[in-house]
Amino acid sequence: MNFEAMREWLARKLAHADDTVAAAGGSSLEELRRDTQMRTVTPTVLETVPTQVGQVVRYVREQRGWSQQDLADLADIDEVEIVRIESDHDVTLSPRSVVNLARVCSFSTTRFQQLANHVTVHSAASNLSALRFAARSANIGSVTAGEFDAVRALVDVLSEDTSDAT
Amino acid sequence: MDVALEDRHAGRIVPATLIERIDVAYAKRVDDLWLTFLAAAIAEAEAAGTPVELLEHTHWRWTGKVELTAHLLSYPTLAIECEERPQGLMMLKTDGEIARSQNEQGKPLVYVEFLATAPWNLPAVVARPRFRGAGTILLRAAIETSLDLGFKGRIGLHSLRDAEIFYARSGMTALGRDQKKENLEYFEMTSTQAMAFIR
Repeated sequence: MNFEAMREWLARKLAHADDTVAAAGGSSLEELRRDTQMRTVTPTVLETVPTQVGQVVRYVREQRGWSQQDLADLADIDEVEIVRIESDHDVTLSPRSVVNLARVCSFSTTRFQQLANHVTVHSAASNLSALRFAARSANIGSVTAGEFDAVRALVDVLSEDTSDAT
Repeated sequence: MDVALEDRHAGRIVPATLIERIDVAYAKRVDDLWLTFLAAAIAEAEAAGTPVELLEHTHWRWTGKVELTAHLLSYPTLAIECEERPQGLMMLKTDGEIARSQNEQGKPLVYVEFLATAPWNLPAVVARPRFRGAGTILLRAAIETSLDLGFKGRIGLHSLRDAEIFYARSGMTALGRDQKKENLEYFEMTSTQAMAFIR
């Protein structure tokens, strides 16, 4: 838009709505800090998550900026179940939870189901070992950059577009 | 980007510049300029025996806000400049926010995290405010950002009390006070309202 057009437009707007006082915003600095931290998935975020099922769910949840309650609401399951998935060493998910979580996280249902059932999953797209993963229940303790990349790769595999519509 | 502001002293609309992403150094400069001006104005008013009653946002510090968000693509802070001085600032959040209006519920929108104008443009601070139009230009910039992202112009914000009339007259819909945001009124602009605003 050139200056003439902008001038004409602004004059028209100001004649209609005086913007002398136009301040907006009700977030505290602390709120902003929490929100921005949710937006960056770092290795630290995954440190306390003991299982791969928990890690991929946590990863996607953090990436989208959802709280555990948000995710529970979206997947129509109990928040307690989200807490368990992200913190328990031995998670057993009901078929309904698996299907709903897969849908909300944009995961392939079949692949997420396999992961949730501690089954070794092979990427349909490739036989590369990097794309092959086995579910593991051992406590991670600390997450190295390599392990973090592996979780990210795992999320990618789960999110691959497959035709297993459920 | 070339935009415009109304110079109230000169009584005409003058060219201004919209900066689409400021960095921390710029935010520091804004705080230095705005807070110094504000403190001086307050001291002057006190000395004259006419203490000013100021809205809370005039004491906002932008440095901390921009420090937290400068590295995030989804949190741009825009500035409108005239005579090489910042006249207004706005921080946007472009992900994770969805519409609440009945007809657009659940659709993504651009959320105006903060919007403020320079103290020399505020009648609560100075007897003769200098520029007008920063709020209007920044609101338009929020809409344009929403259009660029495919959000069809949808935006949302929490208005400070004295600004509610501006957002209502600009065509936004008030959707009620929000206890999570200092009980401020939440305003939303639908796609249709946004198209009418930029026309």
